[in-house]
Amino acid sequence: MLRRFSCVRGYLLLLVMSLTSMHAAQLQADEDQPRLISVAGSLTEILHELDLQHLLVGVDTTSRWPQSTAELPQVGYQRALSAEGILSLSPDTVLATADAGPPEVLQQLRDAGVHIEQFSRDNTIDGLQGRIRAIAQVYDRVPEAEQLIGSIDDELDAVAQLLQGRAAPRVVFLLGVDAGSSLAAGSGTSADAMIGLAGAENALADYEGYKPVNAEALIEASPDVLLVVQHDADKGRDAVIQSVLDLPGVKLTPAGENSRILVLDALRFLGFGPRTGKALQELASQLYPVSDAS
Amino acid sequence: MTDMPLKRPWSRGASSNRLRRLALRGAGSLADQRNTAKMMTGRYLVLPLLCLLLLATALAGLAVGAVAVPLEDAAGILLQLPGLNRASDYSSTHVAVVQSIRLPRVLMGMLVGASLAMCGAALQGLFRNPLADPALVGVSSGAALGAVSVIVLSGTVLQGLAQIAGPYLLPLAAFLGGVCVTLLVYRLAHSGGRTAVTTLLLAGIAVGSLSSAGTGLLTYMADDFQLRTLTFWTMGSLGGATWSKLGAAAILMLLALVLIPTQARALNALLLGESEAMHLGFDLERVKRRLVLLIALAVGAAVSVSGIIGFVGLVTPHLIRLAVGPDHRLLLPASALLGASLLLLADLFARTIVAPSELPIGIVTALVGGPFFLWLLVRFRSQRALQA
Amino acid sequence: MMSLERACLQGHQGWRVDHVSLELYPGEVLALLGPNGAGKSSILKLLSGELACDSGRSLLSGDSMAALSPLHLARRRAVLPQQSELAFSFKVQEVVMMGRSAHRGCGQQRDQQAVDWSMQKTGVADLAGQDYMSLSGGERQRVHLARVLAQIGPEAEGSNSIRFLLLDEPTAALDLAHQHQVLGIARELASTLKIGVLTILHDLNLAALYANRIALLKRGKLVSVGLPQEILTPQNIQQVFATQASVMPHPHRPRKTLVVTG
Repeated sequence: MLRRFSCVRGYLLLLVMSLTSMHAAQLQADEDQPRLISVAGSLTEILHELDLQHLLVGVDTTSRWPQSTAELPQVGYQRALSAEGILSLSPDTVLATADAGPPEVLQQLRDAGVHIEQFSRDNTIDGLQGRIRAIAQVYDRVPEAEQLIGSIDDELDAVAQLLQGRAAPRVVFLLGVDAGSSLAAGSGTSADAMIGLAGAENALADYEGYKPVNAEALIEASPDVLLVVQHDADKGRDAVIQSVLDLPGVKLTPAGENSRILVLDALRFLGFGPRTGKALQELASQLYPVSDAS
Repeated sequence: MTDMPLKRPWSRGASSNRLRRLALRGAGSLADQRNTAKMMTGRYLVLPLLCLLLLATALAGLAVGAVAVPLEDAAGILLQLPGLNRASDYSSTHVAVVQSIRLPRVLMGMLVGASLAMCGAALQGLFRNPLADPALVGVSSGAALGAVSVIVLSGTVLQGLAQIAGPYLLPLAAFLGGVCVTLLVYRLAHSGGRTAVTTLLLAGIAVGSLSSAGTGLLTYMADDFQLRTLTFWTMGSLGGATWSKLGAAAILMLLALVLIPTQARALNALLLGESEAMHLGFDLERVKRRLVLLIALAVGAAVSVSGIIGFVGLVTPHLIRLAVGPDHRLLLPASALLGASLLLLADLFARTIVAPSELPIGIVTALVGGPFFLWLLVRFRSQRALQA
Repeated sequence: MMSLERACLQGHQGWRVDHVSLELYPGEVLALLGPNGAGKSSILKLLSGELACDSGRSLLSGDSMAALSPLHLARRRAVLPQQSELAFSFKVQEVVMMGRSAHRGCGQQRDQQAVDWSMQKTGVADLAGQDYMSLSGGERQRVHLARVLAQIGPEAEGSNSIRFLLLDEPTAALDLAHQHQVLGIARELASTLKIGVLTILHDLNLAALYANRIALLKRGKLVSVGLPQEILTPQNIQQVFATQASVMPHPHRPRKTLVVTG
């Protein structure tokens, strides 16, 4: 989801995926159960964690986890929804973040009697827990939600434990390394929020949003660690690390000199979904290895 | 002045030449002469045929979609609107789909397709350039600049405006961007009471690149979500068609569709060259001013509601020229009818092929239009049929 | 009457047209002669209203040309260009009908009459249904002549019956027979319909045969204007064209002169 979306290849990939998913078997929900469509990846993940996935009759292109989501009909990208496509799945409710659109389509859906449940999209743990609670309340999963929130809290505590007494490393998050041009995450991005939650410092916090970064700016930022994401974090990790090291300027940063390049799973790290706690734990354990504890 | 007797030693030459011609062309030329009137009216048959095609595509657009509405229900729901059908036992979803999703969408598709194609034909005539399309006078790039400004800046600089205008800010900004850039191009090309068409063309390209640079700058400032939104906007969609959005845009597009054909004779005369058109009595400055204004309004309105949809404005007039020739009195209305049908077909394709999702329509028109245009070029390159 | 009064047109270096005063009367054929760059086409453009004088005036029946609308001008004068840019598959009849653009509202029948008349006159009637693009260069030129004839029409419309025809090298693309045909038509229109014809020519002998008057131009200035036999003298030809010439009576045509150059 966080590739550079002007990239036509990415689009064609989505196109092929939606073409194949179109023919996937439509899950038949029971007559009396609510039919839901989720048009945000993080909301889809919450539904799964709360064991509500059987209510889903469709998802958008940002919903890519868990794998079984791919079986569901695709209704397109959350900001370019199609009213009739959604109506053809006869949903009762569309779960969306504030990003969903265009507004005319949402209005058409409301006019056709579809309830639209909109949630905030903020990159905070409070926001995430609020979304979990809200969904749980509507679909009667409060105990499961409290358990999920509890486990997120536990994961955050574990992170807090890890970074106790450790100096905050300077981190730069790079996007699209494999596409040949890399964007760095500035403030206001979910990567920036995750870096902060992991007790590190975003060395390029002066930037706003994702911005192209050149070799000199990277050397000037002098990051101790470079973060990159990919869709399947384990596949070809060494090749990704090598291509990061080959980027101009990287070798002249502390991160390059010490080969401290971390490759993380894109959806888990950037999605601000229920797996955020685990992602933070994973990040913190790599940022603060037990072996260097003083 | 001396009055000299009129002598005509050449008249014999002329008549012998005519005999030669008759001998060379034989009965064919006489038959041609007799058939001329019939052939000219015959070509006008294309208009009712295109009307039928448009009707068929419009009905298909109303009857087919991701939601399976039975044909008789779709017809019955449509007939409710003028009050011809009092039955009310239709599913409320089907009523909503047909009346407030498909109908405005089909109408918008018709108007946008017709406007783009007719404006393309008019611009190709005005510039006498086969590659002219609405992008050339800066309408599209200006509209894109307006739209992208709203997409990127509505959270910050334009927040106040965004609160007042709500969802109408984007189409409004796209429209204003398109019209302002076109008028700027026209002003730049206008000097000493004259508008040089070449300067208009070059100014269009220059100002177009400038506004693209502005769009690029805004793209640089955009965050990830804005980036995707604007990418989708530049690929066009009729998905945002609602009755309220259609209203204002429809008036402007209809205005152009009615008024541009009144300049058909002037556009024909322009094919002879600018001075000849002036010699024939056309006030070219007025013709250019009117056409540029009407095109800016219509294309600005079209782009503002549908995003950028390419190839319809470029390819449709060429198709019509191949079929019925270059006469703008026929070319303009026929292009509009065919453009409307083609866009409806493209939209039908865009919203059913990957249902329940849909493709941006600009991708469909480019995917189909590009190779088709190439085929036309290769097929007719020796016949100069694609000249405009 | 069409006239220029001390008309000037600024060029890149000095005057393209330098204080030229010239009248074109109804019923005459006036030939403009001069070497390349003498300002012949510029004078034609000033008289057609396509260009405005930088100083001086151009007048149509006493009215300043600048004050007249293109439509009004088009009903009073027609202009045949050297070559037309038209590159489209129009029917010949449609091209000729374009000449009637300025007469919208006069009735279809009248337009058709004018078109038939002009096509008959120029000998393109049997091409009416042909594709313009399939014609030869000479045929195309005659189709355009038919178009401009259709524009001024066989009979005058409205109160003012005086019409003018401005021809820019009408014989350039034509073979010998058609050169005579075209100029013969011009001559006939002048004498029968009292149309004032101005034509730019390069061939001195064609001018001598068909023009009532000749105007000689050099470097934007009017050298002299008058009857052919007064203007076509060895001295004038030497002065304007820098070419040696002998002038003698035409062997077949009484009162006409023949110029032999070289």
